[in-house]
Amino acid sequence: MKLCLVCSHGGHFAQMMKLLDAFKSHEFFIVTFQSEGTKHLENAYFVKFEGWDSRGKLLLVKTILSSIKILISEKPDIIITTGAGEIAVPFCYVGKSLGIKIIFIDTLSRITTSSAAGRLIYPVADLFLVQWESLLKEYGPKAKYWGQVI
Amino acid sequence: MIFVTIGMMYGFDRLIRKMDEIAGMIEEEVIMQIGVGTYKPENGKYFEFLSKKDMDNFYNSARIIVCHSGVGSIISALDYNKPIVVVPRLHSYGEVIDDHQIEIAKKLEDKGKIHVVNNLDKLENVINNINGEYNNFNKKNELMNNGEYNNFYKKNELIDNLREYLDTLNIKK
Repeated sequence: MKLCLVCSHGGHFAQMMKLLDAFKSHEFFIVTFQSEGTKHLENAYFVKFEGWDSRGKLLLVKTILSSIKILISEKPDIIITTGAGEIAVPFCYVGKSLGIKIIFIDTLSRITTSSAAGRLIYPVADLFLVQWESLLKEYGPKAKYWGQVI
Repeated sequence: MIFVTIGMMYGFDRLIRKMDEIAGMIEEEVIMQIGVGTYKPENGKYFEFLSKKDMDNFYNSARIIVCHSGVGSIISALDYNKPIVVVPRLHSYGEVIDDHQIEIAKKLEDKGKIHVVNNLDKLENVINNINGEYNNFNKKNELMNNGEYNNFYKKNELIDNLREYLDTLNIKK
């Protein structure tokens, strides 16, 4: 079974690294943004963060194109993501349309309010986890609490 | 050495300026990772960004870690069993999009994992007071290492549940 681990750099990446023990026994690769904290990775694809256009809209076209390219050539069975939305949303939607299972793990930093990534990915997630029980009611019946990264 | 880190995303001049001021008053070395902040420290060594290897080295050699309330910085710092002083970024200063950093800091402080400083005037005091407390902190960890601590830290419910879920899928496949 092949896993595709998707996360932005910084806190979302740190949470993914904490969870790596759960994924290690399977074949896996990482997709993330390049930064000082991620450039040492070997089995990783680096996606460039496009930022926002002049009207404040998130630019995702290149990320969507990279997700199609990476997912078609790697053919993972499961996408696992810890966010953020900038990278997780395109991968999850493209992945879902290719028949790949989606596991979403909401960030530890959200306690009482849902994240944008969470709200957008909820409909396509096969497994949807939050890290605080107080968030279960914010998302819906599919959300589960299985513990925290710390 | 006191290691200060404010994460990869945005500057946090308010904390860096305060830590630089403190660095000018104490003998202990202060090393700061300042991100894209505009304030450049005068009383200590500083770096904009650090590689994972350098971060690990500084975490490892620090006596106290001071950081913003970003989950990445905190969970990385927790690996080193050192006192962690967390200063949440505030929405009112334009340092973050909302006040979720205050919320997560409070939760982790309630669990006894970090010291939180919301008012920067108190930062120096908190850092100075950690001296005495640090021994207790270590002793507590030592005690916990022999018993419950293992269950709490080494066994992680989320990791176990995810592993089991993936194994079930693998069998079905």
